[in-house]
Amino acid sequence: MTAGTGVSAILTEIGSLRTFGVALTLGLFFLAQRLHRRCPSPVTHPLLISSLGIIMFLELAGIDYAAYNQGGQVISFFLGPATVALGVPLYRRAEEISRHKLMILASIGAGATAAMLVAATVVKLLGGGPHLVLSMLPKSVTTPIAVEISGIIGGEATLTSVFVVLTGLLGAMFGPELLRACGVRDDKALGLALGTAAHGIGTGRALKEGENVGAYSGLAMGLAGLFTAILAPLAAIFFRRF
Amino acid sequence: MRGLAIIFVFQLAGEVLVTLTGIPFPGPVLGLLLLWLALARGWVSAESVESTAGFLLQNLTLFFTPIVVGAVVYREFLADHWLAIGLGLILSTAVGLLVTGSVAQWLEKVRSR
Repeated sequence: MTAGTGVSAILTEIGSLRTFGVALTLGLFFLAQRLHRRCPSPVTHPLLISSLGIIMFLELAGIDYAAYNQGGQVISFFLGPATVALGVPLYRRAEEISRHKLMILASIGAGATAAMLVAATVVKLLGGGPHLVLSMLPKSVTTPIAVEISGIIGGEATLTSVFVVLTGLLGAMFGPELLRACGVRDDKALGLALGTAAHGIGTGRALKEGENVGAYSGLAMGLAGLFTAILAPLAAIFFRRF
Repeated sequence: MRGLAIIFVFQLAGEVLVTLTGIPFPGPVLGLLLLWLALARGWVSAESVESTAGFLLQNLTLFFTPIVVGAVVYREFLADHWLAIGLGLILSTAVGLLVTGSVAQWLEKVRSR
């Protein structure tokens, strides 16, 4: 055995340790947050920088994703309880939410429909096959709902989950800037837009913009998921034909 | 600790309901609705879950990191279709944001007039 394969065997073994994925993710995320605080800009979004850092680290060390994800799963497992936790800010605003029922339902319905149709139409026009179009349709909503829908309409669930996180990342990086540049400044409108178009990752950014923005974003994320679950199968029938 | 226990119990309840009924719906989102209902009915006090919920929500972005890293598995597919995927993601996200935001802000203005 050469020295090289010895080292890579050891690296693979370390990479498969659950603690490795946890420590690498937490460490790089912490550093990325510090960088973002020092140089606040959409392109220094902690999720983007930490993910790129981890990808580069794994590449250099020759550790594959499946090994890293032993520990990664421990981190992403907390998406479940974090989703449940959104019930608390929503409860705090229950009264205000019921006063804005029409605005909430109409804006989320319009936005979720528009995002879905634009995604599928653009991919279709640029020559994407039905497989790609159907995997793209439900990508604006939170991962567990999107994956569920993708399976139902005949897309590929894992591909959909990649589109979901990339969508969320884009929305979280540029969403509030784009909205404010286009004259959308109301807290409720910002939150509803981020949650509808960029689900949980957008909600993460919305919570940084303010607790009120975050609560509306959380609400929008859930409702947009419901809307899309109902509309996507109908849209899928249409896109399979045309 | 009480807060974390309560949150996990509600997530479990959501997941068990989904498993038993077979409805194609994510368990944690159902758990969210159940927790909201329990808080509104006073079965659970907001104080008991507040600090745990705050901690989880402050770190929401972190929990997505391993999933974003997972995009690396699809790099060849993404590279082959980069234009369609890239433009599809950018345009649909921008349109989704602007349509939702403008409709919401417009309805808010109409209402307050």
